[in-house]
Amino acid sequence: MKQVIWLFPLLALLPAAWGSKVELSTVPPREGVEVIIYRDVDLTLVREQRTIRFHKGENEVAFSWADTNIDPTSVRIRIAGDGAGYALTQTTYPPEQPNTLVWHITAPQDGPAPLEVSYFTSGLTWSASYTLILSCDEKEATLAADFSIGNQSGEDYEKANVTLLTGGVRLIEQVVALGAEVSTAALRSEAGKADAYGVPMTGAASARMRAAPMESAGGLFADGFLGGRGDLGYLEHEIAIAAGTSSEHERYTLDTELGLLNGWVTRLRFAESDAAKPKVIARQQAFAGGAPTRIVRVTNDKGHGLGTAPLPAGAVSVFKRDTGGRLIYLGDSGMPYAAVGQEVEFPAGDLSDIVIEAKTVGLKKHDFTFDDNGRVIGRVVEDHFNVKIRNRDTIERELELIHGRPGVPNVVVGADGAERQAGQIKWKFTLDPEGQAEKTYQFNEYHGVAVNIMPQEGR
Amino acid sequence: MKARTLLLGILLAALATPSFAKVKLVLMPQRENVRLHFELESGGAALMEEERVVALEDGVNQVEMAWEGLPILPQSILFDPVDGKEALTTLAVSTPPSGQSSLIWWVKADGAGSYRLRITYALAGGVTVERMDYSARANAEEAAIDLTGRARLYNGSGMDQNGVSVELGDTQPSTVSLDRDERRDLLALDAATYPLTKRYISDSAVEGGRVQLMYEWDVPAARGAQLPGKARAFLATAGEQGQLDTFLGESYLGYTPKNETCKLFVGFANNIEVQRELTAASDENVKFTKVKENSGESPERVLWDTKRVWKVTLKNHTDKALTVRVKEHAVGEWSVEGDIQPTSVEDIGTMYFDVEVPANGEKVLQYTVVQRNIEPNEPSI
Repeated sequence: MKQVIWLFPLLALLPAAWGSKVELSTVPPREGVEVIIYRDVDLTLVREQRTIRFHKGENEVAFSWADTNIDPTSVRIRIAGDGAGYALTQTTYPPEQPNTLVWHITAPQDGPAPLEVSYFTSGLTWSASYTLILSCDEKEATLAADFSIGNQSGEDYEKANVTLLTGGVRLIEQVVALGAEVSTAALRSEAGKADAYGVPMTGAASARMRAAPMESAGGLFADGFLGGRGDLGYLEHEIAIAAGTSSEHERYTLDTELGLLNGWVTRLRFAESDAAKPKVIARQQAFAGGAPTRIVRVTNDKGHGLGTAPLPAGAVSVFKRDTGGRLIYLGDSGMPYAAVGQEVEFPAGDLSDIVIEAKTVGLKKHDFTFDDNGRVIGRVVEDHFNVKIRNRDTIERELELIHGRPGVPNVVVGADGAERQAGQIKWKFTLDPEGQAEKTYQFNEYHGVAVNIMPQEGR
Repeated sequence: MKARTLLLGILLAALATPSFAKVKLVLMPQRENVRLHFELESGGAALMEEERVVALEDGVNQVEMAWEGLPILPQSILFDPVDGKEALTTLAVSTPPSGQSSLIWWVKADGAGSYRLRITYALAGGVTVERMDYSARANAEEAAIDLTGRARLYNGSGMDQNGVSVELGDTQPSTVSLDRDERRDLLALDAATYPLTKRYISDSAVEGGRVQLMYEWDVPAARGAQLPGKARAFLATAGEQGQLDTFLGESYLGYTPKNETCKLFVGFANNIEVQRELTAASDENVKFTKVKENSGESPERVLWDTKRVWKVTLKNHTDKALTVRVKEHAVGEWSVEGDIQPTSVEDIGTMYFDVEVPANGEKVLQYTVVQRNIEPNEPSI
């Protein structure tokens, strides 16, 4: 006699319409679950371990995914270990049971066997965020890196082994669309096309697709969280997050099982340094007006108390301590990905106490060239500039002042000490408190045929 | 309107508690040492800081913070033990399902006891500085000015804010209590007296015959930066019933760092007349396109110089001699020719002539400006 075993990836009960022709066994508990959450796409690979008692011969194992975001095209089953003697003979999709499949497995003998079920789901996400607290003189800082893991998948994953991944993943169909959100019509239109793995969908695959859509059963935790739904598992100590690399992906693996409850977000400390020693500068386009931007440069290396792993891109909240050690909020920004050893920078508010007066103080034209009709076809235009800078801040400031005319062939005169690149110059000033600086220089622009007389030197 | 609440609850979750077991809210301590800092320099969000003394059990505790209705920036929330740091470890932070503005810190305490916790967060609204108003009162001689600044706080946080230490930039903190939806003025600058420079500026190309009256003062380092806000200028005036203040005008003051000059555009000086007229204009050194004979085409100008002579007549109808700063404009490649040269050149488009005008007298400024190498479609003087 065939034995049907039900696997429920969620707590919702299926209707009892499976039929009277089969015999139901008890639901085997989930013995372990591993989730690999991708950051750059809405995709999570879930692997569950359960032990099922088989009867010798053919067994039917039913799997249901109602009210979750599980991608039905991705569900796979595997007998763990060597699996010798076990064979998956076919997969069927009961016509009266949407969101259900049945694996037909032949077992060599009676007895338990470990089973691994894997699938893609959506709604599990993670992101990095940072908190930077600058010292009063902005030469020291603490930097904390946190990872936030959110679960809107419709499914609880209690005591999950969690791995977080960064890196590009190519998807031709979004998992969320393959799950609960996609319409039947849309899915039908996809029948016959390639599936997420590039395999043409025929037969069983198309049958699975026609089972959609799934209906929502509402929130699982409508009773609110004060009832203790926020349990993260059995936290006893700080969770360490080990970093590694898989192919082109960065992997961050939690050393402790974590409860990922639907609707909740959990934030964990990944890295922390009280020796971040950022480089803080001011940067401004000379004629942009307004205040210079505070630029914070952070180096992800051991010399700065970091450097154990790449730091993913993420939001950063920036604070500063005043002379009394109290916090000032400077604003939010975004920190780019920082490989080990890499210095990255991000803006962090304005520095209005640095006063920049940039003026065009003169213009001269010369070396006119005329064509045969007497029209001007070339000229040299000198633009004369003067920049005065005053640091009214109480701390030393470094300023990058950028001025350029990209796109117009030019020669800069009188900009000794400035970096020159692609038609623009960059001044670097170190200004003591109440320190001042002044620069006078000119751009000689060679318009039209005057470019032929443009000197190479000083370009 | 549903009352907004900011509460801190302690949820004791013993390690032995099974997952999903109910936990109990056992304590809601009052907040202390509440501090609110406005970083007005950059116009950023306000920072709120508060302390609470909470009783923690030995082991893992859940400390809950809820802020329904408050515009807290969740990313900015910091949790920092003030004392007993070595005994407390934050294991994780969890946020409940969306729609509930709250979070739970999972805090492990090495020993039961009372711990002082500091919670810091940025507010994108809630308690705001609605406006900053200055009263700039010049003395009768207009040689000094008393500047008083008031910041208007508005408590739109939905909860009473009692005993909050409010800091506006670098100013000294003030302890303020604000009921829900209450507005209150906070003295940010208390009648600071600064030396005043009174300046007359004629920009007749823009203002016609009106002369702008400007009050200027340097922001002293001891006061720190001057925050942006609207300023109303008054003049202390002697009257029969004592000292009266005459309202002169108002303008907006931008953020002014210390040791920089603050300029307040007060209004217009009615007793000074300015007339500006063009007395001579000519084009020189004109180059034309070449046109073939009998082609019927007219030659076009391709390059030329322009000379203009401007006459500015200033009449002072007061009993005091004064200096008017005449602001003149030019464009392109220009220079002023002759003996009358500008006092200063501001930039490529602006020059100043400081002209002393005698009491009840008149002074004429006449200058010649030449713009060279003008091409078609370029602006000219």
